[in-house]
Amino acid sequence: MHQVFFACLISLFLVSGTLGGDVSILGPDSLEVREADLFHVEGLTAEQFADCIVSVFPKKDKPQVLVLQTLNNKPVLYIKGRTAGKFAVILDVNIVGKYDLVIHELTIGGGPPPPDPTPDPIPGQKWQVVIINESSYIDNLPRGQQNILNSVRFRERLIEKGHKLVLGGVVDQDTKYDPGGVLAPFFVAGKSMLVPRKDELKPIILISALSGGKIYVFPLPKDEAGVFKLLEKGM
Amino acid sequence: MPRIITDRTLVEQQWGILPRKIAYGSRDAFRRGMYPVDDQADVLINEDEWQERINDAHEQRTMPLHHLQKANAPARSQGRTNFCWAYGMALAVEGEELREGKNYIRLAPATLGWLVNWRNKGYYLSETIRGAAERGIASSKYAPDGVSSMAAFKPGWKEDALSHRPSEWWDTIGKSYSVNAMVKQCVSLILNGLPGYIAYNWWGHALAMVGVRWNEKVKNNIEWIAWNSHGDGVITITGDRGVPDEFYALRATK
Repeated sequence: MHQVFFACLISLFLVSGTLGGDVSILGPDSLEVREADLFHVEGLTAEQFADCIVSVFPKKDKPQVLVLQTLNNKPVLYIKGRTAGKFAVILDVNIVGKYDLVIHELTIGGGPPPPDPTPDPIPGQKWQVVIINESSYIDNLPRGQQNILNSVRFRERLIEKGHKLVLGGVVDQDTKYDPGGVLAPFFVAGKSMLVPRKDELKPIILISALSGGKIYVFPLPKDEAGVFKLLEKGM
Repeated sequence: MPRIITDRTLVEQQWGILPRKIAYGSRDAFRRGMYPVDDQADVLINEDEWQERINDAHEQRTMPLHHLQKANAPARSQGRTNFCWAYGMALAVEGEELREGKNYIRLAPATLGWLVNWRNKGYYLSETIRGAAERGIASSKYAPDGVSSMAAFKPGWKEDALSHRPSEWWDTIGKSYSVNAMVKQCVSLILNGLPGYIAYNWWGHALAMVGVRWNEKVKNNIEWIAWNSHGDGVITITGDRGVPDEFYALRATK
């Protein structure tokens, strides 16, 4: 049913460009998951801006759309991909006393993350560790995972066992890392796992031998004991 | 030992902060990276869990206080300046950088002085959040404590400041709206391991909130642990006075 309605909306869009007279949404036709962009809305008067309603179809798993706002006195939509799929961004605009729809087709890309690799069994291996998380979701994590992220005691135990936390190694996924810096290879290795899944934005732990080399990516274990078990698996 | 403030003479000794300028949950707040904490109810921790959670946090050492102590962060003095709003911010950023696994870098609050045109005056916390996100805070290698002008700054401070910028905050509802709601929000955020950038209107003072302690002999059962900038470091405040009027929890840096 959704697909039929969606197809109708898109066909109308393709025929007329917009249904809303001279109003149109200008921006990319596709985004990746977690990618965001500004979409300019052309031809919208101040009166139309004031009572314009923004919606997305289908509503399930829709992209994040913040309220229509102005940038340099021009109306813009901020849209961020949340899950993969095809969507229609719809403006309900009052054009000469009658409400019409302005539609922008948007495809959000991004497939499921690949399976986790398993570390090679290396006796006595010591690891350097990075944990990438979404800081706004820390409160949703089990307490054991919160402790891994925040605990001084956990970091001391990590060092006692011969491992180390990479400098700046408890890091928000949106951090603008230095491309030549120590965190860069970890972000690159973790990129596929950073794509949000159904259970969105779970933290990941990335480990690499102290001497460098391959980086292994795992979901963050549920507590400190789970992390040490993971690190010892390769010993 | 932490100093417990009970002396009213400290009250209104110094007016280093101005009342909140932008509304909770407003578009202006969003633009500053300040997200209302009650938009996500699961951030909040119920009162009946506090005692156990607080004691566990001290055992696991998950509060900003523990990171600052581990790093041997020194007590700071704003001297004769009215720059508590800058010291509170710098200390919150130092705490969050440690939580993120970075090395301790002592920051120079005076490098936020451009926000008040290098005058020795108080300022808004919400505007300091905007300014610190924009230009950052240089390390203390570039500027001394206790000054309000940039005469003693070393070249390169502007570039260095860009490496220390807060980016995302939890915003709280404010004590004037509800003391109980504010207590719950502040305790919950500290238990999430986040440093608070706070203001006490009764004191006219801004600080960094770095921990809480459970104490059934005091109101709300909470001792509030702040990092002050009068050369004293950690202080403890109890009762309704300990409940901040404004509390912004720093959850990420750039």
